Amino acid sequence: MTAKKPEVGHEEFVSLFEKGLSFTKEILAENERLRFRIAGLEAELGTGRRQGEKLTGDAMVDVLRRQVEELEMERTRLLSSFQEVETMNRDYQERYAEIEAEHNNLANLYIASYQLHSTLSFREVVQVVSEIVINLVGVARFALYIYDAKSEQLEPLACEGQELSSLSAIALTDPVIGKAASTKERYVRESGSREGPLAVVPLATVETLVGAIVIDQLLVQKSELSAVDFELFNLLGVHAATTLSSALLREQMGPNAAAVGSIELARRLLS
Amino acid sequence: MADTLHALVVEDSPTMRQLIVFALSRIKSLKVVEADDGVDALKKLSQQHFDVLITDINMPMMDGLKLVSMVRKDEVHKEIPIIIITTEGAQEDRQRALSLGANAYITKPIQAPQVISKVKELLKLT
Repeated sequence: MTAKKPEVGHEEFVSLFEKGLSFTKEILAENERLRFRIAGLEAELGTGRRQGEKLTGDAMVDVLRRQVEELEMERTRLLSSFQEVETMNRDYQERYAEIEAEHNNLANLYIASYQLHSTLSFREVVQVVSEIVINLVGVARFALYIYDAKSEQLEPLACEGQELSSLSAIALTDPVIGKAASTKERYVRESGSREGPLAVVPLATVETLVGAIVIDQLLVQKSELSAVDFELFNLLGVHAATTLSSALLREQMGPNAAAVGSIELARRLLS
Repeated sequence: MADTLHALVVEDSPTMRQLIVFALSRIKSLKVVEADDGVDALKKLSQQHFDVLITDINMPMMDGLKLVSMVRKDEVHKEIPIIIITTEGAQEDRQRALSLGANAYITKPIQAPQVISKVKELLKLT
């Protein structure tokens, strides 16, 4: 009785044979590769020896020159990458500095606004306006004028870097300060010019002119007005105007004005 | 060194004080206490430990120069780093404050990076 060859055994044999075939092919391929490598190395060695003997080092010089060239190329490539990274770093640093400056500017504007609206005492509001001009803008000499509707003049009220008594009222017909106040448009002296005030910031609401800040001189360490200074001027122009008006009205009505009947008035105004 | 550091800011102007406090709020490990003048500062110094003192010079009640002088004579606080705030023109005040024992100065108008870097330098923060 002939035993039937199991199908699984046959498949295993075929699989084993195929693996063996594949392995043999791999060995042959590796052998081929190694033979080429050996031949290549022998050729290099032979060339080196021959040329070394015959050309008295010229081949070595060539080899070294090639190596130097390759290293030079590598160095150039690395330098280029380094410069790219350096440029990127510089860009990041500049961006960081810009964001930092922007952050500080916003902080200054926030503080100015916060302080302007923190009190309804007229004396304190004037103090805050002065502090903003001196400490946030960096002004050495300025004056705060309040518009007097009766005389139609700007009357000096507070100042820094000069005597208040040395300042006189300014008519709205004045070509620089008066004009800036009456038109409610900020004036800034042209760069290079030394005549007249450095800047005039009208303090006004949509309806009413309240006064003006006249800036004559910046602190010694500050050479010119910056972008954030103009933002501060914008803020002062409106916020200082409303706060000064509110504080003055409150002072006229008395310290308890806000508490007496204010809710009735508030409701009436909204009805 | 403790995890949280404490700074005392002495300045009579609320605007300036807020500006300095705002700048110092960028230093995460620093808690800031405010004082209106030298007298208020001495009271607060007696109540808790501070790692740095930042003071204006021109203040009512007790000015910054007197404060620096008194702090340096005090056994408890004589080593505290002191930064004074001056104007560019007030060189005499600055020299006097430094000779009395202030460690550094910053000039008005105050710039936040200037405040942060001086405080970090004195507190040896990286």
